[in-house]
Amino acid sequence: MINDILDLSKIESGFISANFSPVRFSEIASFVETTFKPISEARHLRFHIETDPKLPEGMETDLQRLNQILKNLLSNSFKFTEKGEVRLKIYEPKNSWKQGNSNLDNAKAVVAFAISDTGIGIPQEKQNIIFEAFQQAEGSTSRKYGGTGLGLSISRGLAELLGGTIEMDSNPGYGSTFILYLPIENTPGLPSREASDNIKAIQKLQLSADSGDIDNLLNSLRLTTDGETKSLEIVNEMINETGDDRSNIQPNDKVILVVEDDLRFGRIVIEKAHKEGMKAVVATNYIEVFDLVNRFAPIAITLDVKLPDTSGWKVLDLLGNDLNYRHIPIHLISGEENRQLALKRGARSFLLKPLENESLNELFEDIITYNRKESKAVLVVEDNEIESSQIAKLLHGDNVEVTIAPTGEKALHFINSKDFDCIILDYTLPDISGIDLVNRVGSTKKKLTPVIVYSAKDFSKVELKQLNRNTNSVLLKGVNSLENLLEETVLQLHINYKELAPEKRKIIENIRVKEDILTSKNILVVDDDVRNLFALTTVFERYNINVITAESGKEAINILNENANIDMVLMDIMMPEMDGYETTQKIRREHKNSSLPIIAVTAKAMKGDRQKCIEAGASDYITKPLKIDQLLSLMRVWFYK
Amino acid sequence: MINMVTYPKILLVDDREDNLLSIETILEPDGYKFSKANSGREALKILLKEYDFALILMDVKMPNMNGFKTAALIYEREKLKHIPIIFITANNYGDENIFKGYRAGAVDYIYKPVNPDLLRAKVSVFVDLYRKNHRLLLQEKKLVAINKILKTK
Repeated sequence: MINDILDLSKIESGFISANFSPVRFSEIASFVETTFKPISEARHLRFHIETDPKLPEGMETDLQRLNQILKNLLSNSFKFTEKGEVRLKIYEPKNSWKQGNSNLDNAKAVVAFAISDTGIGIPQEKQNIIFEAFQQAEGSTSRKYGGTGLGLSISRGLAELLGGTIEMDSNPGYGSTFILYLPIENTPGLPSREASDNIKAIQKLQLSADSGDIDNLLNSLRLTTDGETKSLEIVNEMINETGDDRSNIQPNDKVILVVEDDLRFGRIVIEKAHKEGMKAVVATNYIEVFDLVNRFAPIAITLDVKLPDTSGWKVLDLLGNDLNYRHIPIHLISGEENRQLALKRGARSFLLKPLENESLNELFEDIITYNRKESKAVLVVEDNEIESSQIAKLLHGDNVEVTIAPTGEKALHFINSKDFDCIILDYTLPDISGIDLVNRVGSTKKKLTPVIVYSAKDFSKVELKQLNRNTNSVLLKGVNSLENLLEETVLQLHINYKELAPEKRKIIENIRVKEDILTSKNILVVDDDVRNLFALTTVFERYNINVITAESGKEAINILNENANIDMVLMDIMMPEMDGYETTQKIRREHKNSSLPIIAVTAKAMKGDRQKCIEAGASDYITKPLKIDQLLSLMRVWFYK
Repeated sequence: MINMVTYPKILLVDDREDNLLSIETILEPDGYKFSKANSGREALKILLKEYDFALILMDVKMPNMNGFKTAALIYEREKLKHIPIIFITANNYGDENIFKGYRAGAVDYIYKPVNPDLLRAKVSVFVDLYRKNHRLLLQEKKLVAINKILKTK
């Protein structure tokens, strides 16, 4: 939102100009569809997009700005509609805009984007002021629906920038229609005086806040809107405050995900990424992490351990536990030394804050070279020929080359002459003692090359401790150990398991099913919608989880009273009568079992909700629409604890 | 177990109370046990706790969640896949829709107005099948048990 405020003041001062280029209507429709389909599903609303076939194929406009307007208008419609539908119609209007708008009047052709909903509507007398900054239809409405009205004034400003206007029509109780009129061909216009008034109000706010510090500005906005943080956060999420690249990422861009709440540091990484020809997106909480990973498929992640609402360690575990994400190299950043633990838990590297220029360079070098390398090189140090050929056969594939070294000397020679991506070491070799070899390999190899010790030796505690310091993992030879070695190597090489040959994929899936901590756990699922209960039961049963269901908070509490074996509760927050917050509070109060994990399921990722969940006693939260892999991975994390 | 086979359970799903009643009345003399649901949701609710139905008789046209949608959800679930569903539908439903139903997992259709003899006959076929399957399962269990004893001897 801050970006928008800045944008708007820039429009007026002429800092911002629109970038006009040809845009297809189908492109616009598909953007809207992908953005709002999940929201419509989560809110149980129908959502239709209709493009008039009589329209030309496209128009000339600034796609980014247009998308911003549509996003604003549609977000409002979804926010104010509790049941029924939201509809976007794109068509050629027959001169139906009200005010004399010279841009539109003189345009050869005009396109209209009509967004209609079946929401609460806006009373006649309030319709005029709806576009004014920080006005809302009714003071009392705000608590229920949030929304500052800021989006509308911005949208109108942007519409004017694109040479058009926005008009509205509303029937209280029946819904509203907002129509965005734009010329089909580009005739850049200046913001009208009316829009400028809107801008002034916003500028005032901007001036009242500390000019540079976004957090301060946000806080001051929160004060002025009387605890209406929710609405601000909705807008916040819609429009990103970090100034990262999320709105201009092309399909072939290499993207880095920066998980960081310190935006200054975030910006340093963004700048560095730009210098290296990459893009960067910033996530400040873990729901956003998943969201951005899904959207942009980053080639690497930098992860700050200290985050406001969650621990970076948890994010590391969540991503590492998830087959869909675990191949993405994660570089952990922390103010406290914890390298060993970071590597054990699957981080690619560990960086100590404050970050020196040199470490940042090293970090990016690793990210770039690793990503560029199509084929990974593995060195297997093993004197037993049968075993080494077995390992080679198992690991060898489209993107993995295996080199075998039968002696320690040979191994060191290879490492000297070539960069390997993973080194697998036997501990008992004829020419060098195990510990010697580990140390010498450690000082010869490239810094981040992972080392796996694969040995039949029965290590003592002291030895294990020493090995833990110098290697990434220790695997013992035995039954099924080859499968485990494959799993570990794939993990260390950051290979996406989907790219593996089917039989290898099967091996890895089997290992995970066998070791799945969720097997036979008793999970109480609380949701007032029986369809959700049924769907979750269906999925959980596939993972051999015992599901107990409750349709209300009261039923949940009764079940917990009678059944002491419940291992975890999955609690929907939005329930009639006793909601999830209240139920969670009651469970915590009545049951002395404070270690029972309760995972809250909230409708949307909002900071306020998160806080409320945790305050009510929930152990964690996840947002709808639920992604099953994410949910399972979160549940596993709670059982590993 | 024995009880289930002698009095197999049938789940009736229809949004109209009178239809539920008439089907129940038609089938009652044959010695079945009934669970009744007024909607797809209600059916799902029952199926969350009980899996041992010999058959589901379901109306296609129901508000909110129709019979096909309900059936699709039911058949997603491993535990319920084996339960046959007979759809009850209007006669003029059209082949295309009938096909949809088969794809959703229906095993058969009964047209409205329901012919009592036909309904009884169809239901008895599926209940017989269910009984036979059950017997097979029991026998298999017995065999496994006997084998175990033999092995340990």
